Amino acid sequence: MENKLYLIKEGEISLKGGNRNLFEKRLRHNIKDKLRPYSSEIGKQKGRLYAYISDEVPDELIEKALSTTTGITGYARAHRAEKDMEAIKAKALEILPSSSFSSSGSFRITVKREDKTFPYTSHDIAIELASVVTSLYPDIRVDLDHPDYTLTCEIRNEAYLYTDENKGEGGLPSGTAGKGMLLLSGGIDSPVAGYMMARRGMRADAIYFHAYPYTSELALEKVKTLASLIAPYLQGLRLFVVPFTEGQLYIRDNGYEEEATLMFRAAMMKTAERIATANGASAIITGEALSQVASQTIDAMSFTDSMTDLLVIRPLVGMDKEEIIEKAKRIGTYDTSILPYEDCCVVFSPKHPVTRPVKSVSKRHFEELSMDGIIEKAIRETVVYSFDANGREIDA
Amino acid sequence: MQKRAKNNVILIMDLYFDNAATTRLSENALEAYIKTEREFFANPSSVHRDGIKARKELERIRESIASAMSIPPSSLFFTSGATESIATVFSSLLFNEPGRIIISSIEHEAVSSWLPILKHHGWDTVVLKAKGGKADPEELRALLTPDTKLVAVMAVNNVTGAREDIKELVRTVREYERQGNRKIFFFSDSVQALGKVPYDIQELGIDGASFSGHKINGPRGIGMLYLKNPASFRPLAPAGGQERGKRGGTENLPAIAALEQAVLSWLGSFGSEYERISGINQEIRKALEDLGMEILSPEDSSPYIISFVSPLPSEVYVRMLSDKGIAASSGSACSNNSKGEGEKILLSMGIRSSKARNAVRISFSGDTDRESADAFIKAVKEISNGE
Repeated sequence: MENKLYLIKEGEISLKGGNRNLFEKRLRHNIKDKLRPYSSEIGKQKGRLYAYISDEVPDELIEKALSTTTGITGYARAHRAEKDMEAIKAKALEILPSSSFSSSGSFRITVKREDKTFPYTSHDIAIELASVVTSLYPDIRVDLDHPDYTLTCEIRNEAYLYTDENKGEGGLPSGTAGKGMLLLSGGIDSPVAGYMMARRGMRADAIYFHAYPYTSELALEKVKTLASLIAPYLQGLRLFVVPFTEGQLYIRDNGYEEEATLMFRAAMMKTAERIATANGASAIITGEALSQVASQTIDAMSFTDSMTDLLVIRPLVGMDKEEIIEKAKRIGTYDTSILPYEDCCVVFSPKHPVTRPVKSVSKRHFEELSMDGIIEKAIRETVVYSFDANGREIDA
Repeated sequence: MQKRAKNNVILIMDLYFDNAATTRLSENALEAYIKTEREFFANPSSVHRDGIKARKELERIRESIASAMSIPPSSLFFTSGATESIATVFSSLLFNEPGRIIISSIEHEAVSSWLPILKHHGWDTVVLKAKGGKADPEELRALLTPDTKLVAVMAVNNVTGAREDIKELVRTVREYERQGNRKIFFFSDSVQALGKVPYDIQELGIDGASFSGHKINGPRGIGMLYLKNPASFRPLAPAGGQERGKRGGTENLPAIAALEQAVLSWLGSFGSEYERISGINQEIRKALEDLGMEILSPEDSSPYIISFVSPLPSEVYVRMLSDKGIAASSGSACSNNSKGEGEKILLSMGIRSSKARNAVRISFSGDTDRESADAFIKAVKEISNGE
């Protein structure tokens, strides 16, 4: 069976010292996981991974797998040639026509001669390959600093040639930085928050608080879609859907109106902590950004923090909305997030919410609500959906 | 909703209360559709025998419907639906010297969406208020100007069922016409009126009206346009000059045949059905009021529509009803996704936004009976009791 060969650059992992092997092992595992059920072999040589992927795998699937796997800074389809100048030139002649190279534009040749026993110098190889390029594209210019196209030749155990290098996600491989529990709503922010932590190597599951019939079935479908969209970055995730209508109504009917949102956030933290701990997560991730809404002031966030012993991570806390939207668009969650199935939170949102709660007072008020039983019941009735590393829903 | 009786027979109760959005295709209409599709498949414009047969069938149906509606067949045109019928009239205005056009504030989007277009083309577009859901002839009188060319007021409002006093509004316009000696076109979107309230085009004296098949148990994609004097109207697409030049495109004969069954059935049983549905309407109104809910539909509305203020945002309440097997509507079903067209209509009637937000519409058809009405009332009571 023929293989396709991809060269993969690891970026930040290469800065790691003694743990480097662990990180690389995880990265290789993550890539292979996404390419399943197809077979792939991933080898390693001097700061590069070489993925030999079965010819049967569609290019789009490889593209999606490599572009969403965190820890990869760049990748390229590479072509092998014998370590022989004529063979290398012949291979270049073969691959250039299907690359992005064209006569209008500029190019450079980059040579990496790791194998110092190869009889030609880097300069020699570059000259030879440039003559191949100009024979195909007579009007193409040379530009060493800002080329439109680059043909790279690496001389290692074999010769490797590649043209179009794609940028990867960067960051660290998923599964190397512990596990978090993401509070996922249907909005723009929380999927981005999950993605941000995925880039730092964190795995995560997600929790959605569903208040049917105050929120619609379509809102749940939307959250499931968002979960599937961020699943590739997180190497798959589970979505815990917590039915919380009873809790919402209870807070509305028994709490202080202007504190309703805070009390709900507090109950969410309590619930999330329980689900996180039971599922091996040691942090709660939220999409809060400072002062975006009344419940996201310093005082309000400080209060909700006090509801859990777990670390609360807010990767978007210092970002403005435009930046968040830009990221949401890039990872493909934006169009889903802006679908109009918003919940009817008007029923539960106070007209004049408290923005500067006094922690000790709000804590006391929350304790007075004594919601343990309601939270217990909500957790018992929680429904779990699972998404694999390619974002496909699978049996939980 | 399906109820399994003891002897394991499934009883299907009709708990569909969204008939102002669309109705179920009647068996008669479906049969007529299939039969006509089989027997009269040829193009009515073709000159061969099969074509002539189809053409004859088309004209037979036109006469049959026109006769049931007491209008001349030459004033009746088949279109793809009320939206197209309305577009034919309003787009024709673009070929005229701009003037004033007056529409009521409670028109369906099929009408109101033409305002910005006409305005862009230099028309003076004016909205006639409908306080409490009803347009006032005196207010209309105050808006009429010598360059007024068209007045549009729907016959029955789709959100509340409010019945407009078309006869009086037309009389106001005719009186004004006599002073200025210039003709003003009176258009009335009559989608929710035909077969559902007393409705006589000749008696009302209107110049144009639109009708839809699927609101009266006919198929979708078929409707009618009434034009008292068709001469001055242009088709949206001339095509092959079908429908005497007013509506190009091969006639949808099977749908037209199904529409005939729908119209004849509704008009044929009008008197007794009107009585029957009025009784059900009264029963439901009373039950809702007993539960403390305000009725937004005026007293003398079409008996087929009730709009009421639920204790919750309408979307939530409609979901709760849906969980009990009942289909109702939060505002206007055409625009559930673009946020409250029905809500806008209610606000324009002077209803407070806190009430408009909670407004739920139920609408009936010939399938609605006492049993289903009682099931509805039971469901509403259960929701009120937190069950």
